Amino acid sequence: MKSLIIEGTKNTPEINFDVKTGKFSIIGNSIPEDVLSFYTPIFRWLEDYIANPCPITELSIKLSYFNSASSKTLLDILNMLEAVNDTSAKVFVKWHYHDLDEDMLQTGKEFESMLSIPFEFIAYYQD
Amino acid sequence: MIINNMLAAAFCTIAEKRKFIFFRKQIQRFFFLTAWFVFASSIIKAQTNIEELENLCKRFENENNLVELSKVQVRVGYAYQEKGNETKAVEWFQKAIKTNEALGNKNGIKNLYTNLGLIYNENNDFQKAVEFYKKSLQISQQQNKRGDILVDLINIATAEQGRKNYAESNKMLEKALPLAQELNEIPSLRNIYSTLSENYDKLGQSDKAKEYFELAASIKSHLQKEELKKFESRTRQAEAEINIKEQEIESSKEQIKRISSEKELTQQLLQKEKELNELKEKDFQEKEKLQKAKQRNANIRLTLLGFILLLVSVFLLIIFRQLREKKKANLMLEQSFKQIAEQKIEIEKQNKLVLQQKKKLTDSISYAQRIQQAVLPPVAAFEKVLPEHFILFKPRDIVSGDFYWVSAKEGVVIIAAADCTGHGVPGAFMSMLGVAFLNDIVNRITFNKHILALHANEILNQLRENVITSLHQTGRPDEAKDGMDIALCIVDLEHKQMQFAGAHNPAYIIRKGELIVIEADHMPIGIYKTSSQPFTNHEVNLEQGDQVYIFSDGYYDQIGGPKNMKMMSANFRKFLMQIHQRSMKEQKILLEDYFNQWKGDFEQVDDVLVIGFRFDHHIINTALNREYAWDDLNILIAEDIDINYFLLFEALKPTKANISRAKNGVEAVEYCKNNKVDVILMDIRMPEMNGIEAAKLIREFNPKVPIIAQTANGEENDLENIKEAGCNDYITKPINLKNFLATIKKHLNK
Repeated sequence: MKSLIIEGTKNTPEINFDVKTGKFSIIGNSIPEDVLSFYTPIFRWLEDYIANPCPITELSIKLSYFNSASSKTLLDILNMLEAVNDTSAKVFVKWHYHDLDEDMLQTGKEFESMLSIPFEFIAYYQD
Repeated sequence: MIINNMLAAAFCTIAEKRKFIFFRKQIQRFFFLTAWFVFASSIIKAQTNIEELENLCKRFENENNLVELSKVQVRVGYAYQEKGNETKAVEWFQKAIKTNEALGNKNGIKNLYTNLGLIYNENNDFQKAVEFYKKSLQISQQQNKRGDILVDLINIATAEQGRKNYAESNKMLEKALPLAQELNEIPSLRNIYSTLSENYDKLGQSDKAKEYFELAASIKSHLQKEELKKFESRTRQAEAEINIKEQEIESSKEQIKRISSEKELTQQLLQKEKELNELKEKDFQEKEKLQKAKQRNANIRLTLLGFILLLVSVFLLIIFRQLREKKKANLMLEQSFKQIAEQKIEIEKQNKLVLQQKKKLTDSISYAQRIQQAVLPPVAAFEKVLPEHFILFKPRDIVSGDFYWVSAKEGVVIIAAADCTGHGVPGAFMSMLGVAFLNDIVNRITFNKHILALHANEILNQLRENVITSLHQTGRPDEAKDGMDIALCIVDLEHKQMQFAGAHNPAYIIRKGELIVIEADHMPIGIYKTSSQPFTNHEVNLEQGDQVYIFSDGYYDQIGGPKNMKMMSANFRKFLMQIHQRSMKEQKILLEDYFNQWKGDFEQVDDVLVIGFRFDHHIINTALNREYAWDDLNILIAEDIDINYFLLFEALKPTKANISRAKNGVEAVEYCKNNKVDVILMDIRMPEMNGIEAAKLIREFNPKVPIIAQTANGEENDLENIKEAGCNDYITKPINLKNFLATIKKHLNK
């Protein structure tokens, strides 16, 4: 299968899911008017990936802003990957947040509490 | 040269005749000088001149031309005298005398004797001088020429004086004196006087010497004056001449000037004319040139025209050939243009349609906004119970996904700030659902139990259930994630208590300068992994002046600020702390300003909702009309119609009075006989026994209890009967609450 690469826009994040290295990243903003139309292809792609995942999947999430609908969708993505973590393959999350953005850290912590996959919280400082 | 010497000789002759040594010498000198000046460069020539003259003499001798010979001999003598060769001069003068004697020319001889006398006198040979002078005098006396005699006498006197023979000199002078006087020869006279003075001086006769000296001097000055006069007159004449000359010069200058100016003018005129002519010439030439150029141009034009015609015909040929191909292309182009034009029209049509549709949509949404506005609780609902409050509501689009909800019941206020997923129209749909659900839930619960038993989390649990059920959510990843975040407070005004439950959105309380966060549950209203868990119910005891804030995340999620970042909740809290001491209305304005400032040129990211209120227990008491605190009063309402009874009951409820009901006059009389009653509200028209009869009966056993009759509009005729029956007052239905309570109070105080 091919890697999933979607360029970022003002309202949607940059998606780079590399099947060869297992390094996934979601970077930018996620405030689409229609959350499902943006995320449905990602769900479809993940369904295929789950069937034949990399030994280690590392998902980096570095979002500066996302709306509540995106929040729920993110949780769905994490749920799907959590299923992989149960089998032979391993999944972990790198949750990037701006040093001052405790709301983003809070959301990450909230996700961590609801999931069985390990979270690493990384603060960044630039704008 | 010859002429010159002859002239000199002639002068000398004149001088000799006058026998004035003085003058002659001068004249001689003058002429010799002149001659000298004229022939200065050649003295040798003079030498040759003498030789020539001597040769000439030999020639005249040979020719025996004695007249000419004598003249030339005199000239030779003068020439030698002039050269200083006096011996030779004397020799030649002697020769001339002999020649003149032969001629019988006495005048000539006389002059020559004088000349010889002069030469000897000059060389201080005074004796010889006197000798020759006397020979001259002899001839003069023979001729009786008095002027000559005078000159000769003076010459002799001078020579005698030279011989120091002063007496002899004086003798001569005394002879000369009368002659000079007679002839009026002033210069001679002076000469005579001065010589006499000198002679007397030598003779020692100083008186005579002085006498003649003065005479000489006076003549000298006279002569000088004469000379001066002559000179002056000559000067004047010269000046006059000069003046005349100058005038002449001036006038000629002027004339010259005039002439020259005229000349100039003429020249100028000539120049002008010349220029004019040149111009005319030029003009003519230009015209000619123009004519030629025109001719040339015409030729060129003709040539060009021919050339162009040739070119055009060639081009035409080429174009004609290409035209056929172009025609085809043009046809195609034309067709595509047509298509484009059609497309343009189509696009314009579509654009118009889009604009129309947009307008329709916008209109539609604007209308929807009015509905949403109507559904949101009126601000007046707050005013009574929480006058110190604000609602900052800034939808991102026309309609909003955020909504607020308020319900005030029996001293309890329920306030909610909700944020539905999405904004704009989809958000607004969800918000309508939320408002409807909240109304339904609160009504449903309070139908079964007292409002004070209501729990905040209970409302959220039911709201979540309703959303999941009505949206048919099952939890599949690809289905709608719609739902809402919410912060909900129940404020018990009387008991100073607040309950809080939150889905993602917390509440802030600022109490005595400190901010307390009441955490929300980290789950939404909607399907979620943890949607089976109930929401947490928080209970807080409120204190006087507590300020409570609930909100959606739209405010602090706004991107902007100095670093183009989210504002974040921390900054929001910081700002609340800065402004919390202001009035609620001011806080709203400050929050809005801060938000707009943060947003700057960025778009608003989400709908914004912030609600704040200040808890004030005293206001709550006032709101509940505690001035009518009739807790221990018994009020009987005699009223047969239920709805009328309920209205009165509701009106009296806040006073906490004990209220009893009688459904007719009989029941009312009976109740009054058996119970303590403080006020009776008596309806007039009742079955079995009307109010008037009942009042009459009650007055029989209780004259004091206030009886207030209830009358309806149009029952004014009853007023007399009411008074007769013993009623204290009356109220008119439908009641005015304020007047109603005031009327009762008036009679209670009596």
